[in-house]
Amino acid sequence: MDIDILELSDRSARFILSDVDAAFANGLRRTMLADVPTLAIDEVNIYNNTSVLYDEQVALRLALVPLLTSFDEFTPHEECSCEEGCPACTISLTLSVEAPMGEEKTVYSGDLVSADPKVKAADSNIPVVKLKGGQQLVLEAIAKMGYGHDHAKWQAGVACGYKNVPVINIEGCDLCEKCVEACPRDILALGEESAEVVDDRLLNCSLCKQCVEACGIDAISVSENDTSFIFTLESDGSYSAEELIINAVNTIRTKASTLDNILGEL
Amino acid sequence: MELKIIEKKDDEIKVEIKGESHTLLNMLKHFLLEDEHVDIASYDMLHVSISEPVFYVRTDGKDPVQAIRDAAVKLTAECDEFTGVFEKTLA
Repeated sequence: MDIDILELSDRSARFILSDVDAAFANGLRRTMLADVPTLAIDEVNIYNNTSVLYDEQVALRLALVPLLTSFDEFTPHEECSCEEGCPACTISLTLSVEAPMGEEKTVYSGDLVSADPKVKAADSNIPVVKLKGGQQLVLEAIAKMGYGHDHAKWQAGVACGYKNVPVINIEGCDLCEKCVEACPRDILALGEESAEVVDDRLLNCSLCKQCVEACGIDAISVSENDTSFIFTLESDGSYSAEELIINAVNTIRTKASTLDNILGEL
Repeated sequence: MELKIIEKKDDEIKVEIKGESHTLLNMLKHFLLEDEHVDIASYDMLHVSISEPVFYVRTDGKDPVQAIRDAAVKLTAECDEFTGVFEKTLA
């Protein structure tokens, strides 16, 4: 197995995963999308809501706010030994905003105050509702640790996908330049003896095969490498991209060892 | 995760794996098929949202439970390898 990181920022990553099977790559992708638990608001006790939005609507909007999560400090609610929610699987946040008389005020995700300073809205500038002068929104929100397969608000990875690394072979080229013109992503260029793949452009190939169609003498072939994948992922902010990858792999490992343990007890 | 054995013979097993999906089962199937003693490894979900997946393994005589355990261990090793390589790449 080999990993080559192309880009890594706080919220997104792009890397080449090679010498693995599609089953593992797909498992990793599915895990990041649906099986890495995160915190999201699940219950809201509204004390005062004189805004224009219904209570339900406010609750839904709050639920979709990504919360910074520490993976090891919380247990997913459905696996917790409690039934009604306890400090191990839930955390309480409060929000209290009132617009001054005669002024408008927008309630932002950053107005949520949690009991644990490490848990807060991943982005503080998500608008929740706009209040007119004198309107008030006071509530307590209970965030629970849950899984993306139950609701999108618990999804940690939001744009995770991969494609196979392209393989372009050129043999017996007659320098007609048709493939260079046909390529929509400017991957090919004319070399001295044959058309060539431009340095560093190979990964941009979308395997559209327009170059193959354009070539009159079948000198070019485009295929995919079955064991190398270009992974692209984005985190919703609950974890950094790096943590998301690590947490996803840890989740798979836990599942596999749980299965092994259960079978061992049979 | 909860297992319910539907059928078990010396060389085959049919087991319901509650709460799991393609994520784990497809990887498991892949590692089982790498085992030369495994003839058939597959799973089925009758209904995408209401059924629990049923996993089926048939071997050439090897204990099918042991075959699944071996596959799970291989998967764990693959995860360990990933973590190791990923951390080394970052360092």
